Amino acid sequence: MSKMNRRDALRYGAAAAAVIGSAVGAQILATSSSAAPSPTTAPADPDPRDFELDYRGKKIKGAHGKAETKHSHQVHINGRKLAVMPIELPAAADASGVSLGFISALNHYEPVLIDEDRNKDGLLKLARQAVDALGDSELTALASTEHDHGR
Amino acid sequence: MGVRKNARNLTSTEKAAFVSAVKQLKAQTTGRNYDWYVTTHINYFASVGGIRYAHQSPSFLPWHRQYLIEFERALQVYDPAVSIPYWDWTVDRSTTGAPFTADFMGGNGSGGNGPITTGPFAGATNWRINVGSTTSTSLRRAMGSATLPSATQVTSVLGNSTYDAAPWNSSATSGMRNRMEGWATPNLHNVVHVWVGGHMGQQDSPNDPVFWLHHCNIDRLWSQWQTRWGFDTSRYLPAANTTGVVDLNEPLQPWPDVTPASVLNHSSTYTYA
Repeated sequence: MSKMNRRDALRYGAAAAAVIGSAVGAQILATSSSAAPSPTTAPADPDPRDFELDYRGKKIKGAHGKAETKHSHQVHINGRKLAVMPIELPAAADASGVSLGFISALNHYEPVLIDEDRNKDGLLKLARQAVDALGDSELTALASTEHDHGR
Repeated sequence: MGVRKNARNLTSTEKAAFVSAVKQLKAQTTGRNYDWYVTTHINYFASVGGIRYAHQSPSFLPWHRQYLIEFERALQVYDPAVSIPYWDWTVDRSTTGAPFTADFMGGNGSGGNGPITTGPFAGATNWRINVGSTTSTSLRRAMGSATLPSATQVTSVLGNSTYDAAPWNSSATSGMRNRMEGWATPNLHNVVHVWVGGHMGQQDSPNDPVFWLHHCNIDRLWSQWQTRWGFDTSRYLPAANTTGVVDLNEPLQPWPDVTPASVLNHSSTYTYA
């Protein structure tokens, strides 16, 4: 991981992440431990950000990763899995470290930010974008295959 | 040696020849046919054997340079006069102008995000999607959901004299490459995929033949950067001993005999007009 000092952060501050959503509210990995939810002994506890609803005639379901798998988010559209993959992005201009975006097989060049603050609806946004792209088609098995983007 | 021209300047004959060669490669049933290129892009978008080759890495530019050279050679088997044209999206910014005309790439998707309805790639009979993330067997586009990069943004990216920088991935805040690829702003490459939409926004983006015109333009911009800052091997980074990425003299899989160093100077293979 890059170690940017304050001078570098100022110098390269113009290179903000090219993402959807507010970079200002991006979850910064360097400080994520303080923002992480408290450990829970009830694994069945639903994440308040999870969703299951109809959008443009399709059933979309989203489940956020929990605890140690907190970056393993799950999306299904009409019961078919859409692979969602994390990708490291430049931090916001006023922060250091990196921020974490997510891309899907369908939205492969347009990361969304997902966190528990300003971008808490990120996974829903990603799922809706996938439905927008699908139109009247459905996901194939190819869209369900996760792959490593080199975090 | 081929000359890669601006798509807006192609004659009707040149456009027809490119389309014909692309369709013949699509119809090829053995060897590295069109769908091999689609599959290869999907496979190498991610890291392979722990190495990032095609995206989120310094070799984004040399990997796609070789990918285009291979594709162009495959087309030239059918028509030696064909070269890949480039789409300069700082100039041609309309969903109905070049290259999205009915005699070349065709236009937008039906209803704004459905199958395209004009041109030689409209409909599954003319152009069947065999390797896709969706069940659509017709080529789809959803154009205009983003803003194409401006000439000013291109100038600003090409003004970065350092090729790339640690951590050599999509979070790099310094250097030219991540700004060109588009995980850092200004975003030149990614946003064009988003602007075209449909298949171009998916992991199987080469299903849309405009993929080649877009990447030809990205390669042309890298060539302009090289003209300004140098074609020599010292301009590519990292030079050596960097895990997870392709150093200057390491193989650009799936072409084991090709390295970033070997593709830096393209002038004996093709030039840009």
